[in-house]
Amino acid sequence: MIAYIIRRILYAIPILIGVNLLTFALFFFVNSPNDMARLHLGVKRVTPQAIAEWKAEHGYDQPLFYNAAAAGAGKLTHTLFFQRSVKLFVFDFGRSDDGRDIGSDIRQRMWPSLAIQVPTLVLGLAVCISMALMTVFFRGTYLDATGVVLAVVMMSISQLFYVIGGQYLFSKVLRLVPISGYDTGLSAIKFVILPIAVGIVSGIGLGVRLNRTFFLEESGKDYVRTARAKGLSEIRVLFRHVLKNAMIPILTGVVVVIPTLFTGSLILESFFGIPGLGSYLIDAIRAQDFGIVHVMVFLGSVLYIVGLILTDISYTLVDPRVRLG
Amino acid sequence: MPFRFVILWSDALTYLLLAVSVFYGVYASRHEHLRAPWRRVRRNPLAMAALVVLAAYGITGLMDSVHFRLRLPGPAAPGGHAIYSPQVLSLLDVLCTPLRTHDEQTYSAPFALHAFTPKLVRLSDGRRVMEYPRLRYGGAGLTAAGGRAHDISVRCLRAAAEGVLVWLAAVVALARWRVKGAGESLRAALWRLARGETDVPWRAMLASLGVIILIVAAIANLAGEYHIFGTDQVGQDVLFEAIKSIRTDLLIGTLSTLVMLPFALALGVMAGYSGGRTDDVIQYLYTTLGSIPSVLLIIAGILSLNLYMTDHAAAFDTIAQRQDVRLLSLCVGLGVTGWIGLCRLLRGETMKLRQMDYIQAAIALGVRPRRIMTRHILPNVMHIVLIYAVISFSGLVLAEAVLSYIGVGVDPSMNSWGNMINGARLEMARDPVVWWSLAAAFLFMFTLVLAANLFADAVRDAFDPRMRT
Amino acid sequence: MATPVPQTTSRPALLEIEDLRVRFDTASGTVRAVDGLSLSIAPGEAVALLGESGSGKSVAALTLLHLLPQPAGRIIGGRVLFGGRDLLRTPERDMRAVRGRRIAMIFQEPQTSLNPVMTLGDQIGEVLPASWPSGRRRERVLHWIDAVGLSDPARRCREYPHQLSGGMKQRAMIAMALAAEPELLVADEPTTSLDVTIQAQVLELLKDLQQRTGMAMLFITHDLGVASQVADRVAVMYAGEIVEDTGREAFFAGARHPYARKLFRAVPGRGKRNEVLEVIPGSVPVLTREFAGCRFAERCDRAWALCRSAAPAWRAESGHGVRCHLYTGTPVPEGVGGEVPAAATPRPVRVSADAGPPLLEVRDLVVHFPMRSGVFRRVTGRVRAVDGVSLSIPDGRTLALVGESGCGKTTVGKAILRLADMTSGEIRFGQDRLDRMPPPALRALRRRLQVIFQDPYASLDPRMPLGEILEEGMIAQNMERSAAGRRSRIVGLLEQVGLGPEVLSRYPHEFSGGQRQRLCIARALSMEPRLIICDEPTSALDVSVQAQILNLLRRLQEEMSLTYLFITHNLGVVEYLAHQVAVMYLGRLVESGPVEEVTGNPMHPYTRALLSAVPVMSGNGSAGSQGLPAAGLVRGETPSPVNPPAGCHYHPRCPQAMPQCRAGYPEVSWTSRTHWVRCHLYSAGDHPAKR
Repeated sequence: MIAYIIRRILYAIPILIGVNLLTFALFFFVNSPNDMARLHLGVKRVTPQAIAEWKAEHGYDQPLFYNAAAAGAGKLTHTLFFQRSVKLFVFDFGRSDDGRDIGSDIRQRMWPSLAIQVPTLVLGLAVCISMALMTVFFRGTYLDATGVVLAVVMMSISQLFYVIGGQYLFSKVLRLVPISGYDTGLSAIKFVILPIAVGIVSGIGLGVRLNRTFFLEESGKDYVRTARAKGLSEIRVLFRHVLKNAMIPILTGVVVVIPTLFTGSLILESFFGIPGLGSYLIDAIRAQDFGIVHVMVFLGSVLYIVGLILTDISYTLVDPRVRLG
Repeated sequence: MPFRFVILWSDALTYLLLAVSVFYGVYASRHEHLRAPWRRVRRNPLAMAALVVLAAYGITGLMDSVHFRLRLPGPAAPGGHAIYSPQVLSLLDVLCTPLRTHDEQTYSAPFALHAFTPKLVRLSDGRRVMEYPRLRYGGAGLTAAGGRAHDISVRCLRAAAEGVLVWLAAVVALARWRVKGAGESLRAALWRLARGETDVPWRAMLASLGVIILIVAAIANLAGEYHIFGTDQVGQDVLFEAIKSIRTDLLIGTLSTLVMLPFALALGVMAGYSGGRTDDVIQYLYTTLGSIPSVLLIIAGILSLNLYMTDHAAAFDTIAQRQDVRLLSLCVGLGVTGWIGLCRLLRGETMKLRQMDYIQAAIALGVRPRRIMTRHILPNVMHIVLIYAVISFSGLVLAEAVLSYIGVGVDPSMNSWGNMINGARLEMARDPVVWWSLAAAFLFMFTLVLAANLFADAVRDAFDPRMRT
Repeated sequence: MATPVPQTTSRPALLEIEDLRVRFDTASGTVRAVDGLSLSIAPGEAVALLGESGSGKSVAALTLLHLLPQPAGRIIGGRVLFGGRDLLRTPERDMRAVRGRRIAMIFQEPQTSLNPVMTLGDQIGEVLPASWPSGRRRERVLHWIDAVGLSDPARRCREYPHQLSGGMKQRAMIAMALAAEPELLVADEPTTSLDVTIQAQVLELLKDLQQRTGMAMLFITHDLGVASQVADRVAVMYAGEIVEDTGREAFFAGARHPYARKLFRAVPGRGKRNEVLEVIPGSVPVLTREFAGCRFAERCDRAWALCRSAAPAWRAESGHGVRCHLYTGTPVPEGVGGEVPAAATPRPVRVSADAGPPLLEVRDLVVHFPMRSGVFRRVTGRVRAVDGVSLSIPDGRTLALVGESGCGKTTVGKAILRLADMTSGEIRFGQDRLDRMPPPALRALRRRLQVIFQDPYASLDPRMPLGEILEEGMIAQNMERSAAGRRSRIVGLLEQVGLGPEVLSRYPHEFSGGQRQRLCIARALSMEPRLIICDEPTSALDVSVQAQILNLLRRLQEEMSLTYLFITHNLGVVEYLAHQVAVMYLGRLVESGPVEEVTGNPMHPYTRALLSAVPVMSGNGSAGSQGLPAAGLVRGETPSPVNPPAGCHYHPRCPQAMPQCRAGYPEVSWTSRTHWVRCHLYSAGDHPAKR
C-alpha cells in the first residue's frame, strides 16, 4: 500500500513536468515575452525601451531555457523556464504580472471557495443519491418516469440560467439574500447560501441520472437475485445490497474531485462576487495575467493527480476486493 | 456572377461532417449490426420527435454555412475583375434580410413600438423632454399605437392558417408515400397515422414538425413588422442573433468531436492493441493532458491565441475570418480535452477485444496487425465513438455558453448564445429588467440541448445493451 | 389443452406445478419460455429437471419464487401449489415469508451470486429471522458454515466472497440457502461452472444434506450423469414442457420419449469409441413460435404425420409419464415405430506403435506470467501457468490434453500457436522450430496450424458477414487471388461442415452455437492446416449438439488425416475422440499414454480421481464409475499456480501421499512402452503399489 502510494507519487513527477512543458510552450512559444509586453503596455507606449523595462520589471527578461550569460548553475536557473516553471514544484508561485504575491493570494482566497464548494458537494451528493434511490425503488411507476424526465429537463438547462434565475428570484424579487458579496465568519452564511443552493440544483439533473445508472447496473447483478431469493424485503435489498455496492463507483467518483474543490467554481464565484480562487482566475483571464493562469494550471493538475491517488486509496477502503500492490 | 462563394474553414469542415454523416448513413444501411440498433432508435417516439427538432436546427445551421460575397453594383475594376462586397453573407442572412437589416438605436422590448430607454428630445418650442422615441422598424406599418394588438392577432391567425395548411400538406404527402406499393387506401393510411399504428412513430414526428411549422409561420408573419424578442444594446434584433447563434453552437457541438476523432481513434486503438512501449507513451500523453483541468487548458489555449491574434492582426483581414479562427480553435480546445476520455475508453475496449477469441483466431490465420485493427477492432468500437459523439454534443453546447461567459469562448463579436447571455447579464440590474435576450438564448439553447439529450439517450440505449435500463 | 398432473407418489405433494405458462418479452419477440409445465414434488423427494439450454427450466424455477426479471417475464397461466397455497397468487409481501424461509434457491454462478462487499457471516445471517438474538443467530451461522464443509467457521464468518474459491463459494451459497432450513431447495445448475472434482464434492454434499434434513429438492441440470446421482425422480423438459417424468431407475433403465432416448446415445464415452455418436439434428427450437404438433417432431426420426399435426397428450402408466404419440395408443404407421440403431461404422483403431514421426513436438515448455509489486514494479512472483510440459503428437492422431480449469492447458495451446509468449522451451512443428521463428515466416506457417476455440459466440467477429470471415485467412495468406476462386472454396468448405452457401451474407448472430462452431471449423479448414488445436470446442454446447461437432471432427480427421491437439476437461469426449491422453495438473503433465491405457488403467491418483469424479449415468445412483476402484472424492481444490505446493503438486489432495511426496517432484516412471506417470508411487524402488 505504502509502496503503491510512493510509486504513484513518483509517477506524478513526469506528468507534472509534461504539464509544465505544455503550459510553458503555450505561453512562451506561441507568444514571446515581447508580445506580452506589447499587450500590457498598450499600443501607444510601445518602444523597445519600454518593452525591455516591462520585461525586466516582471522577470521576463531572461532567456527561455539556457542562459549563456550566467555562470555555473545559473546557466540553467537564470532562465525563464526555471524561474517560471521549476519553482512551481516547490510551490514557489512567484508574483503576478501586476506584482502581487500569488502564493499568499491563493492561501487567502481558497477559504471562500471551500465555503461554497464543500457544502455544495456534500449536500448535492445527498440529494442526488436519495432522489436516484427513490426512482429506483419506484421503478416502472409514474414517479420513476417523472423523475427521469425531470432529470433530463434539468440537465438540459445551462448552469448560467440557474444562477441568473436564482439571483433574480431570491435576491431581486423576494429580496431574501444579497445579490452578491462576501463576508468573513458567520455573516458569510447569507452570502453563500444562494450560491450553494444554485450549485446543488444545477447538478441534480446529471447527478440523479448518473447515480440511477449505478443503482440500476448493480440491481441487475446476480447477487441481488440471491438477496431476493433469500426473502429480503425490497427496501433491505436496496439499502443493504444495492446501495452498498453502488457506493463504490459513486464514492470514488466523488473522491477524485475533492482536492479540486480548492480551486473553486468559476461561474458561481464570479456571479455572486465571492472572492475565491474561481473569481481570481476569471479576473486574471480578463486582465490577461499569464503568471496567475500558469500557476492555476499547475495547481489544478497537482490537485487532480492527488485526487487520482486518493481515489485509488478510497477503493481499498470501500471495496474489500481491492488490494493495492 | 452576381456573387462569389466564400468557403470558410468551418464551412469546409461542416461539409466534411456532412459527407461523413452521409457515408455513415449509407454504410449503416448496408450493415445489419448497425441497422438493427438504428431500427430501435427509429421506434422510439421521443427520440424521433427530438430528431425532427434537431433537423430543423441542422437545416438552419447549414443554410448559415453557405457563404458568399455579393457583387457590388457599378463598373468593374480595371482588368475586368468584378468588385465584391467585403461583407460575407450566408444563405440564412439573405432569407432573414428584414431581421438582419431592421436595426434600431438601442434596447427595445419584444413587440415594442417605442425604444426602451428615454431620450432627451428638443421640441419645436425649444422645451427639452425625455421621450421614448418611436422605433424605426418596430410596428412601422401601424398607423395608431392602439392597432398593435389587432395587427398581431391578425398576423397570428394568418400564420396559424398557413402553418396548418403546410402541415396538412406534409401529412398527406407522407400518407401517400406510405400508401405507394402498400395496397392501402389513403384514408386507411391517414387513419393509421392518426392512431399511431405505424412502425416508425410518424405521429410523434408529425406533431413536432407541426409545432416547428407553426413557429416558423409565426416568425415569417411577425418578424418583418415587429422585433419578436426585442432588440439588444446596439439595436440588433435579438431573434436574429439567436437564430444566427444556431450555427455557432451546432459547430461547436459537432466539430469538436470531429476534430479529435481521428486522434482518439488511432491512439486509443493503437495503445490498446499494441501494448508495451506504445501504450506507455500514449498513456503518458493523455494522462498529462488529462490532468490539466479542461477549463484551464482551454483558457490557457485561448488566451495565447488571443494574444497571438492581436499581435498578428494583419493575418486576419475580415471579421468573419477572425471569428472563424477563434471558433475553430475553441473546437480544437474542446476537442483536445474531450479526446482524452474517448481515447481512454477506446484503449480499454480494445484491450478487452484483443483477448476475444475472434481476434486471436485472426492472428492465428496470419492476418497482419494493421488489418486486424481496421477490419476487426474499428468496427467493434465504432458504437462507442457514436455514443460518445452523440452524448458529448449537448455538453459541448452548454460548455460554449460557460466559456463565452468567462471570456474564453467564441469571438465576442460572433453570435452565440453564450455571448448573448454574457451581454445581457449586466442588464439584469436595470429596472425594469431587460430579460428578452436571456429568454431568447434560453429558449433556443434549451430546446436544442433537450432534443439532443433525448436523442442521445435513445442512441445509447440502442447501441449499448449493457446500459439499457 | 388440459394437462393431467403426473402423480407418481401416494404422498401428498409438497409442491405442485400445474400447467404453468410463462412468456418472456425479448427484442426478437415474445418467447413462450414455459408453456404448460406440470410437475409435483413430494416432501423429501429430489427431482431432477433435465433439459438443454433454452428449454425453459431456469425460467420455471425463477417463476416459483417470483424472481422473474421484470417486466420482461410474464406469468400468463397455471398454478403453483405449495403447502396448499397458490404461490402465483400470493402477494409479494407474503412471498417474502416463503422465499428463503420455506423455499430456498441456489444458482449456477457462485462467482457472481454472492454480494462482494458483505461478509459471509452477514450474508448467511440475513436469512434468519430478524427477531433472533445475535448469539443464536451467530451460532446457527457457524453451524451451517461447518455443515457445508468450510474449515474454520469463525474465520470464514468474517471473510468476503473474493477470499474463497469457486467451490467454496458454492458451499457458502448452500449454507445460505439451508440456514433457514427450508422445506424445498431449488438448485439451478449449481455445479455446471465447477470442475468435475469439485462438482463431485458439491453433489455429495447436497445429497448428504438433503438426506439429513429431509428437505425436498428440485435440481435443475442439463447433465444426465448429475441427474442420475442426485435425483429420486427425473423430469425431462423440452421446449417449455415436460416430455417425460419417471423414477430414476425406470428412466435410466429405459427412457421412453425419443428425445430422452436420443440424449442417452449422444453422450460420448469410451463405450462408443467405435461408433458414430447418435446425433439429434438441428437444435432446440426457438420458442417464439406456436407449435401445431409435437415440439420434438422436427428433430425426431420416428415422427410421422400425426406428430406434426397434433400435440401428444400426457400419458402416465405406473408412475412413468411420457408425452409422445408412440405411447398414446394411437396406431403407429408401418415403418415408423422401429428405432434406428446407431450406425456402428467400424473405425480403424490404430495402435500407437505404428504411429509415424511426430508432427508436433513440444519440449520443456514453460510459460510464466510475472507478477510485479513494490515501488519499482519489480518482479516479485510468477504465475507458473505452464511449468515444463513436453508432448508430441504423431501425424494424423489426436492427443487429448486433459485437466481442470486453471491447470494451464489452454496456455499450452496458446503458446504452441504463439498467441501467448513462452518463457522457455522448444516447439517443433514438422521440421520447423516454432519458438524461434521470426514474425513473417511465422505468419506464413500459420496456415498449417489452426485453432478452434471454446466459445463459439466469441470466436466469430459479430460485425462481419460470414463470407468475409471465411475468406479472411485466404486473403492474408495470398491463397486464392480471385474472389470467385475464394468463393468456390468457401462453398466447398461449408458443404464439408454441413452448411449451405446461403449463409455467406449472414452475420454470426443469426446462427446457433453448434452452427457457429461448424463455421469456426470451416474457417480453420480454409487454411488447409495439418494440425488443429481444439480448445474445449464442445464445452459450451448442448449434449445433442456436442455429438454433431465431435462426429464432424472425427470424420474430418479420417478424410483429411488431420492432427488434433484436443484440450478438454471432459473425459467422456477424450475417450470418444482421442488416441493419446496427457493429464495436466498445475502446469505439469502427470500422466500420459494411449487412451485405452490411461483411462482403462489410470496410474496417477489424480487421473483416477478425475475419472471417478465424472458422474455416471446409472439407475442405482452409485458414484463408482466404470468398474474402477473408487478413489473416493478428491479433497480440497486446485492450489494457486503462484505458489505450487512443494514436492509433488498433488500431494496435499492425494489420499496416498507419502513423506517423499512432500520432498521432491517425482520423475517420469514408464509403466509400459507407451504409458508414463510422474508419481512417487511408481518411482524406481520397491514400492508395494508398483506393479
